Amino acid sequence: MNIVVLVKQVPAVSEIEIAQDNNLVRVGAPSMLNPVDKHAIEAAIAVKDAVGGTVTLITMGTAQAAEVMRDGIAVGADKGVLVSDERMAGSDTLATGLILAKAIEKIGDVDLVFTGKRSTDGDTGQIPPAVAQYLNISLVSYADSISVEGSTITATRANHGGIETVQAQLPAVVSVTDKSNTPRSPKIRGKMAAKKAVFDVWRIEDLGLDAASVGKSGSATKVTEMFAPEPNPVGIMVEGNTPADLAANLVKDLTAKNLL
Amino acid sequence: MELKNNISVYIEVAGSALSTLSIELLGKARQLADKKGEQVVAYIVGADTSKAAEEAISYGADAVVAVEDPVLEGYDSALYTKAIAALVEKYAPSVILIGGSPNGRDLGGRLSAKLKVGLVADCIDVLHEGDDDTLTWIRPAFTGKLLVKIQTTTRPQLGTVSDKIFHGVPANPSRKGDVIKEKVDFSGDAPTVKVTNFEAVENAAESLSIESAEIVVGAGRGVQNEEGMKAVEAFAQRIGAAFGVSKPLVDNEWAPHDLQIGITGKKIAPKIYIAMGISGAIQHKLGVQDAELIIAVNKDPDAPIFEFAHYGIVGDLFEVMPELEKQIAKIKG
Ligand SMILES: Cc1cc2nc3c(=O)[nH]c(=O)nc-3n(C[C@H](O)[C@H](O)[C@H](O)COP(=O)(O)OP(=O)(O)OC[C@H]3O[C@@H](n4cnc5c(N)ncnc54)[C@H](O)[C@@H]3O)c2cc1C
Ligand SMILES: Cc1cc2nc3c(=O)[nH]c(=O)nc-3n(C[C@H](O)[C@H](O)[C@H](O)COP(=O)(O)OP(=O)(O)OC[C@H]3O[C@@H](n4cnc5c(N)ncnc54)[C@H](O)[C@@H]3O)c2cc1C
Repeated sequence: MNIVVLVKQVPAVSEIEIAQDNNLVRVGAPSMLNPVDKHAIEAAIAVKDAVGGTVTLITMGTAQAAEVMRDGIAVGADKGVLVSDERMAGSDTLATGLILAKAIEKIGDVDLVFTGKRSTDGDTGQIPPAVAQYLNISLVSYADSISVEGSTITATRANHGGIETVQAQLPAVVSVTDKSNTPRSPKIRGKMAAKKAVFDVWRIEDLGLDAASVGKSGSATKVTEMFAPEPNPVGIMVEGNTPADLAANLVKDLTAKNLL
Repeated sequence: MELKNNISVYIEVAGSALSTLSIELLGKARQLADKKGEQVVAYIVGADTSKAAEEAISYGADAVVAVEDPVLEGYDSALYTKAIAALVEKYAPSVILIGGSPNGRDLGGRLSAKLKVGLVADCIDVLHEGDDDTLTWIRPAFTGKLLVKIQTTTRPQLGTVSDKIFHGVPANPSRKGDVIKEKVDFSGDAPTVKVTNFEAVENAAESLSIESAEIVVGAGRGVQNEEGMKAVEAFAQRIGAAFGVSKPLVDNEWAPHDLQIGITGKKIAPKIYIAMGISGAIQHKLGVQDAELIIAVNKDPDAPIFEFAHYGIVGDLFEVMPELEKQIAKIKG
């Protein structure tokens, strides 16, 4: 089985400071592997353990982002590819999805692509469906459990106020939740391999992409403003002469302000 | 009717009825369209869409465009995306609102990639800031510490919207609207994803925890006795809230320490905290100050809780509680 895991480097959340002008202060903030991506890695290694195959990690980001792939090598991933190019900076999910899909295509004949359900920074959850669409393959998202048999993957996921069991034909993109498994800890040998691992670096030419379809020019969203939410004002005394009036006035005000 | 350049809503069907989230989106779309003098068009995809189409009109759609095909019986995001993409080509909507449910998010992400258009994920608000059709979407960033405004530079403008943010309008079965059925060629297509089993999860209202519930009702010494406390607890359960208490109620052994809110109990951060007969001592305040909205009911107008509650009601909690329940039931429909 030819398996890819998409892993992302994210800032360690508690370290994000918000400056007075609402700009993010990220400089020097330590980074880490997007936490749920550990479960994507575990899912891949578990499939490899069961049926054999290769696990390739892919991350798109700065040179430093490659470090998060060492966590995957340490627990048994075979190799890692860093997709990195300054022209990719500012990519939204449309562009990021395209870039990652091209990288998966370059690896070729991939049966399974595991991803985390969301990142902790962009937090859109749109990369898994975007990648599935670009590759034109099945998608199983928010998987809480996974098993693979032959060319079928079976997963459970929360949906419509219940738990559904879904079966998908491979090849497929599968995004996993933190319930999907318990990530294993690295052993000494894995840690050594992780330390020594050298990663291929692919730029946009390697992916057969042109500069216009990535980065800001390949994106179709723009952030126009960042601001801190205004706290609700305190000390509003609800008016009314009877309990019924009081309750009605309160609910009316809350509904008008979209607070209920 | 001119169906181009309108505000469209992707309708998600649960069972054979509209999902609550779809109803909420129709309500918002109605608002946006009315301001601009535009139409609301509902897009429905499935094996049998008639009932949902009727419902969508009663909840505010001016027209429904439906794609019906046996291959759409179950949800396969690839095929649903193909169906909606065909509608986009024909009707060129200005915007498509999509519910931020698991299936809706999948559809949104795929649609964005298929049409090569931008998508704003999990929005909590959307508005026209200028005179043209450009929408500004607002979404939380960095676990809600900040909000961002995002616009898409392509058409249709796609956005997914989380649930329980907008309000649907009440159903009006006498509303009229066209239902148009569009054919999409699915020959050679078969779903590659199938739902093979579904188990409904029991509504776990009884086991709501004060640490994770969106609404928490707190009872204080104003409840007078254990029976009074039970009345507040029952109120909490009926409105779908978790139930907690102030320290004296635990000291009296009316409630377990697990339910105590405050500095020596649990610190909570629900969307709404309703304090019933709680004076607002500092030790209690420190446990609830992270709530987004605090509502206090207390018969003493000088109770300290009114200094940090967002909304205060001066009155007897036993008289206010049932009225509040009625009002909440009304908006819940
Ligand atoms: C505050 C904020 C808001 C944003 N809002 C939007 C928006 O509304 N619309 C939009 O189009 N873009 C948005 N972006 C940009 C978007 O976050 C980036 O395009 C990002 O590269 C990918 O999206 P994500 O982090 O949301 O990934 P998600 O879809 O949340 O990530 C899911 C999984 O995909 C994989 N993955 C994601 N990124 C990578 C990567 N770089 N390398 C390898 N694997 C990866 C991982 O397995 C991850 O667990 C926003 C960014 C920020 C900072
Ligand atoms: C070290 C320490 C730790 C503590 N930790 C906590 C803690 O974790 N959590 C906590 O809650 N407290 C804690 N306390 C106790 C705290 O100081 C207060 O004594 C306590 O919060 C008061 O509880 P109360 O508001 O329910 O009661 P009271 O202060 O007696 O207030 C009752 C209120 O009910 C109102 N009332 C009465 N009848 C009605 C009616 N019919 N309708 C409407 N209103 C009515 C009254 O006007 C009054 O304001 C701690 C104290 C200490 C010293």
